[in-house]
Amino acid sequence: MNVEHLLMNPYRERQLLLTRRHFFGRAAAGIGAAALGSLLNPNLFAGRIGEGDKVALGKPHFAAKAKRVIYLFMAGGPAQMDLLDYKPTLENLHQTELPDSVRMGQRLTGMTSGQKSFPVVKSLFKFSQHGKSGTWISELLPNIAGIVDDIAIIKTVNTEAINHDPAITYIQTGFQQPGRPCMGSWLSYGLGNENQNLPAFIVMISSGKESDQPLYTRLWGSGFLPSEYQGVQFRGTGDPVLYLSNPPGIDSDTRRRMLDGLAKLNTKQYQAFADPEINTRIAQYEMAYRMQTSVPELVHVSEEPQSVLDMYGPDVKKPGSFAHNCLLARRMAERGVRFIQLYHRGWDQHSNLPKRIREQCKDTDQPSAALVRDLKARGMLDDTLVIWGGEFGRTIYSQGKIEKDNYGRDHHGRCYSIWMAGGGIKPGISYGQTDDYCYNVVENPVHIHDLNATILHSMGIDHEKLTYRFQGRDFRLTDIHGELIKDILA
Amino acid sequence: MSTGEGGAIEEEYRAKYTFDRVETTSTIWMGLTMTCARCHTHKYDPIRHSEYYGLYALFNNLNEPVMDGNKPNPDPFIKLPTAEQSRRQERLKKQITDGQAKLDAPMPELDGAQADWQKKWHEKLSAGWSLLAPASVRSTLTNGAAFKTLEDKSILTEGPNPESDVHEVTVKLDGGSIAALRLEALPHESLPRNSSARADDGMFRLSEFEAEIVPPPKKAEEGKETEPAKPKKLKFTQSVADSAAADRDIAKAIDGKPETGWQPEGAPMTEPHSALFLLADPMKVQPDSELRVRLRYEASKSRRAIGRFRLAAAQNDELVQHLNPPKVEPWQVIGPFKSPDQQTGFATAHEPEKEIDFKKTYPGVREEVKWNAKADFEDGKANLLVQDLHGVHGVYYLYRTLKVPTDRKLELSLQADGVFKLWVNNQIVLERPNEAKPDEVPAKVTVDLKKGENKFLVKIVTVQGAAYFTFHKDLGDTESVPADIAAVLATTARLTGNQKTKVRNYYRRLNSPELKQLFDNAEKWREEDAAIEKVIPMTMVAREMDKPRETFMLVRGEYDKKGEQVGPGVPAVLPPWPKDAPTNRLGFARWLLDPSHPLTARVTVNRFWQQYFGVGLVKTTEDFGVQGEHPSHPELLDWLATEFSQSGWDVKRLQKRIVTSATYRQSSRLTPELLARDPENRLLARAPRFRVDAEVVRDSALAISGLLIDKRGGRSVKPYEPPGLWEAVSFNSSQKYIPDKDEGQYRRSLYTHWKRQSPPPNMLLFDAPTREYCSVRRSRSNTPLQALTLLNDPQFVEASRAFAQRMMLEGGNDAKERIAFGFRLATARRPRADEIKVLLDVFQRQLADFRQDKPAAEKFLRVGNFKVDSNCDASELAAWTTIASMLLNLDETVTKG
Repeated sequence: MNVEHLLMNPYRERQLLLTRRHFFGRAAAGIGAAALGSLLNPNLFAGRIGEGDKVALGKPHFAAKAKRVIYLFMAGGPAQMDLLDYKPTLENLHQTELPDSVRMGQRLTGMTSGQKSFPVVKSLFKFSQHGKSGTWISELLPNIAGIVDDIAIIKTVNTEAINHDPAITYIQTGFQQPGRPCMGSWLSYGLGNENQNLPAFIVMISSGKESDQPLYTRLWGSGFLPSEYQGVQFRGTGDPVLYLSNPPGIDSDTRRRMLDGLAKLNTKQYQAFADPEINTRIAQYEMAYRMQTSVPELVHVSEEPQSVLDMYGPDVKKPGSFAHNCLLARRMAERGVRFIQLYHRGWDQHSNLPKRIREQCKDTDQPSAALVRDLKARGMLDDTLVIWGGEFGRTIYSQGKIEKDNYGRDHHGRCYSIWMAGGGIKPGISYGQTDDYCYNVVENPVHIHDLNATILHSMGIDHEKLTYRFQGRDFRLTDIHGELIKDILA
Repeated sequence: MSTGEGGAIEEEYRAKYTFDRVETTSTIWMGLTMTCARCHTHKYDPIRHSEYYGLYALFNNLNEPVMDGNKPNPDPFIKLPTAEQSRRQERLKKQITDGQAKLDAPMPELDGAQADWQKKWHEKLSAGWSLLAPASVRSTLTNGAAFKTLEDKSILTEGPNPESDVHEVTVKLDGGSIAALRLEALPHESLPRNSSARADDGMFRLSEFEAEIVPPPKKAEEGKETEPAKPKKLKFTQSVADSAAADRDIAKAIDGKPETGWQPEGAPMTEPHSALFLLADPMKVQPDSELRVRLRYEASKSRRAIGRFRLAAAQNDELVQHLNPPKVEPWQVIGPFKSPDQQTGFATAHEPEKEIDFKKTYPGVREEVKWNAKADFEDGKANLLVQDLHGVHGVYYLYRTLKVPTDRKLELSLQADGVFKLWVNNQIVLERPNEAKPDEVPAKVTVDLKKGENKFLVKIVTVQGAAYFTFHKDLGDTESVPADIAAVLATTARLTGNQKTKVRNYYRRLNSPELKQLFDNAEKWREEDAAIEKVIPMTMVAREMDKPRETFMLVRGEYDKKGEQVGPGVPAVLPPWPKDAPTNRLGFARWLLDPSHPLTARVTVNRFWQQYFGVGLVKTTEDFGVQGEHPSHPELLDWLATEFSQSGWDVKRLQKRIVTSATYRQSSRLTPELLARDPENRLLARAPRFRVDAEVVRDSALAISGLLIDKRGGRSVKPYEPPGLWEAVSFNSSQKYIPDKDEGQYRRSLYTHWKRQSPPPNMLLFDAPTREYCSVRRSRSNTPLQALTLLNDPQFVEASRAFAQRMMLEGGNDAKERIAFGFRLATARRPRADEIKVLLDVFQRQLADFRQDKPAAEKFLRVGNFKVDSNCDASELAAWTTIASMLLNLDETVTKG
């Protein structure tokens, strides 16, 4: 097996070592980050010598429109007909039975398969047209309505999964069962990291009043990819990154002293054993030290001007809220984080939909729109891909009894709506058509594999070429599927 | 543990779990990528699509529900009692059976006396009832029933019989007090099948029984209208009926739920039935009040109203007294008060022992404590007093009063986690100064109560973790009957079923000291048996179905697309099924271990090799097929594999063979030439050198610091984890991680409780897989997050402190000696002089700093539970802790080789 291309010239290696030793010997405390960074492999966060397999590719296959992704994941399955897919025909179909000709044998979850009737329930919420594009948006999303000309709404996203765990695993990893890497890990592996001081892939979780359906650490896990590509969770309470802060009583000077001592001892070990992992470890400790500054700086949102804070809404100052996370996402984007994923839980409205969807929209509408506006104002929307959507949609028929102002909806995978903005996506369009029952796709279906292929394309990745050899075959995010949706690309 | 997700389709998950079993088994024992053959014939290896399902058939026969309902030990499982436990349980069960037989046996003399007693009480208790003649009866529906009052004051329903109905009766009351209402359902020839019900099958179901008193209207003031009086709802705390069908007991008629109801036995109900509804307290009624009673029939749409009924009220004083159960107030709880240890807490008398003042607050363990009413603490149940005090003892007081109408005796039992005392009316009646053994039964005592209010005070001193207590009282005596027995006897003198047993037991207990003793013993034996049962370990097992399930190939692996039927079998390219081996998993196991099997031994040996050398002789541990890598040393692999299988699969022998080999005992030193030629050490010119696994990183730190508790077995434990991780991902944010005290923090990582949805972060950060799918190879990353963990994770900070203390107490008196001692513990070699100097320099600077800033030293030393020896100076220990931390962070410490 030819491995030479993976290594540096050993003489160069030794030269660097001498320079480093000399440099450590002189420096007492607090070496500038840049100086050290320039001596070492700049992609330490991303690439490392793989297990004989491919190292991080480090660069896209072709010119990318987007340099980073902010994925606003609405966990639980938002009801498309109450939010983004306007169906005036539902007025007449309200409370009629869903015909078999429409249902076409769609399998039902165990929660409604016992129902004797499947009455169509129209949305309680009014839709109106907005922007130059004249897009119809529900009254639940007044702020997103204000940015319709910047976003592309896709109404025909579809999936075979009908339950949360398989569905969310499917859209994140391309397969309904655990074991495969998620999109963020693939992109981290494929593109490396722009910022040495922060992780390439960050995850933040918030939830509505009721958090309902669970999430799993593996949703931001690296599967069979090397585990340094796993997502790093930024938390709302305590240390934003686990174990970031020094223990009480240990200040920055002490820490510096300890790290310098460790570097000296580890360097001596390297001289004896010449194992490159030792040097990597020295570098990681330096990185950790730098993160102790870069991360607090990142999350310090109070330094933002009041006008920006106001844009994101009243929750923006509450750590752990969706609004706060959106603002953090913008700051991360500015600092070169490659893949930022927000999860907002609580969209699984089997019952009490009107009340609960109002709460969810209150949490997410303003901050999502603010994020797009903010990026645009900073000239960053063109190279940032923003995605808003969940793992599936909801049924047009009611789960449980329809009451005057209350109903519920079960899971529905055959069609659902998401929106995307920036990063090479055509703004101000609606793509795909569903039938009058908001049940089937009639034009331009977008399977989640297709969606994922298109997202990768925005990032300059050919989804068929970003592969990893495992169990004897080349795996990829889109498995053996996925077609680009060219019509939504600018 | 299976999915419990609402909406999951069973058939789909049965397929998924079977896939998982086939593929995990194949990966581990055969190194074959069976997953590829799930959907189609394997593209590379000679495994047909049908052969995948041949293996699938072997695992498709398990006799278990696909979804286990989140039970801790779902069926099938086996219990594993020790010989001692089995013996004791057997003895107890025999005693219980024999005893119960005696208790159930007819005893002519006693039975005769009982019959008389029952008759006497029945007469007494049915005497005080005033039959209520209705002033009006109506249905609240527009097309509801019509009514006719009969001479005996019963009401007969006639006319329309809608699906569900509500009958409302209004009665004029004389003044006095009401303790209870009685409802009789009486048969009539005009009703279907001569029953008491209106439904065609002669059965009724009363979904709710409601009543309210409307006081007489207040006298109107001059010029103003008469204000209608506000009705006062009667709140029934107890209900008794003479009969009830399964799951249709009388309590369901006062549970507030329209979908449940009372339905006596009998199909049709041709016997009269009666039910009593008891108030918590007798209610005073003004003369000329109205009683409004509503009988709701909303539990089913089958027209199940009572056809003929009669109401009565218990207004007679004596009857009221008999039906008036003793009033028990809810527990008032206060705590925790601080206590340095259990015994001191037990002995120290806090103020509640002298005086109960509900308005007062006292200093507690962390904050002020005050009295809180705990209405949800039920008698006879284990109630949670406190979840966790995190390493601290707490003293709790529980107080309640009990009002009884006459002097009487009362039997109590009390069980609690911790030590406790019980006072009744300021006299101490029970004390347990030692912790309960796991199979100990509750402590019992009989106390004298006086007429009126009696005071109960319990004091519990907890240890750690969750504390429960169970309180039980038994109000049996001869002068009265308990309210529930009274209620039964009031309805009828002829008892059947459960009620018959209940009354008979009560009577026999009361009137025969010998039988009472036997009852008490039987109860004690049952409790003992249950206590033993609780501690017997259980484990899940696989069990075959009696009749094998049919297996079909699944087209493209889709659970609902069945292809041809297949039977169990193994791929033809591998050796055939052994003769005489059964066609099940046992046979499959024998097949795997057959000496002619080319895979099992090689795959297993390779995996052990990987563990020692960091990479297997076959690098693709999970794939010995054509897409996998060839062995780097095929003859070596085959030789080790053959030895292994021929030695009788002796793992220890294999380990010894590997670690005593010259290859393993080489130095792991690299040179640039070696690195260039063979970066992954496939040619084995040197010993392996790689960072140890996640579990070993933690175990090493614990072992080096002396914290590791080297105990085998037992329940999983929970070392420290940053808070909030489980809430962030769990369903409804309902799961909370509560770390263990003491021992639980310091066991080997092998024993750490593993929640796959959110595994321990310091394990994930060091490349541990989540365990949701089979993983036989871990990556070995080197990241700044690992650096942060080793530097700042409280587990490692605590270990550093314990390690530092070792250095101070065991490393000699000289700083250099201590450094050398610590270095040697961490790396298994002595440090060189230049290495000691590096550490000494840091130590001296730190010592100076911590001497100047003692508060910083003290704060640093408080991370984690480990308590330091009081002889160690804080500044010195803090300085040593930084050295210890450095030692635990050395590349050499976390690297093998």
